[in-house]
Amino acid sequence: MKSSDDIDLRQEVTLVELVDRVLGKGVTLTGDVTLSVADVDLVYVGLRLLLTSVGSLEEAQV
Amino acid sequence: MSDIGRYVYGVVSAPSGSVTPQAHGIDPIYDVELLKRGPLAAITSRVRVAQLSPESDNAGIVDLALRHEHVLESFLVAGLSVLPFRFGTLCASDGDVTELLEINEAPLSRALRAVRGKLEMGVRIMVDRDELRESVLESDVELSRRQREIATLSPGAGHLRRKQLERTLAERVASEATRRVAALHADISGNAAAARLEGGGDDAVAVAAYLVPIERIDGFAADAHVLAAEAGLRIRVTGPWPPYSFASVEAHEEQ
Repeated sequence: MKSSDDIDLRQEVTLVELVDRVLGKGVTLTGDVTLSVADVDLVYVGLRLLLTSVGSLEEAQV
Repeated sequence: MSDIGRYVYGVVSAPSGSVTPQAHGIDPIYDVELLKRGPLAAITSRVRVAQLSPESDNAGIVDLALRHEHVLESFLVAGLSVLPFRFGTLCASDGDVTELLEINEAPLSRALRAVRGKLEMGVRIMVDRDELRESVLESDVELSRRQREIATLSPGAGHLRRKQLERTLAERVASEATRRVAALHADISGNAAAARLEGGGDDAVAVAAYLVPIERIDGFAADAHVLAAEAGLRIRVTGPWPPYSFASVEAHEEQ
């Protein structure tokens, strides 16, 4: 039992480390706009996408 | 098709041959593709932009983060050095991706060189407060004398002095923890090309990241555990990771 708890904890720790890295580290570019989705920033590079995608995101929420 | 974007996972040196990574993109209906420009290539895939906003729940974000990670790992497994991008970089078109590579060629190449042949290992550092407290008391004759003295007083008479002693002890324990963490970090850094240390949260007092040459990855965790035991600290080692913590180049797009 202890060993399976151990594995669960290990996976939990790994997931925390993963999310910290993928969402918090790595090369960041200065984009045209930053939208927050569930507290996570999406950086859009290129204006054409911005003009259309904001609309489609709003539609998705209706 | 304007709600389809190009998601960028990271950058590699443009490979001379063809690389066929075994990974689905962050949007599973699209495969991963390399877009080359000059000496660099961007790891990308098409993405339906709406797929990146999964009902704003945390499970969805974790799932997206995992897919981002798996794509980068598939390139590491293929033997390429990867400069990872943070989650969420989107371009409108293929042309925008290659333009991004062109404009930022110098800083991206520099950052890629810094991580070439290296991966990241993560170390969460934890202390056992009770053990630390014992150890501080053992090594401090004056403190342990005060503790014994207070133990002989009645609860009322000893109350204030007991609180003072607890405060002093807490300070000593904290500074001893800081000292041990710094010493361990310095020791482990001996096995790394670069290192970072941040304050912890949750279970850890500190969270460290090490940029480790690939040929030293295998022995890294075992070494770190030996050093931690010597320092009287507990650790959890994760990795190897793409070198996220060492890919901090500020690559600005020129107007």
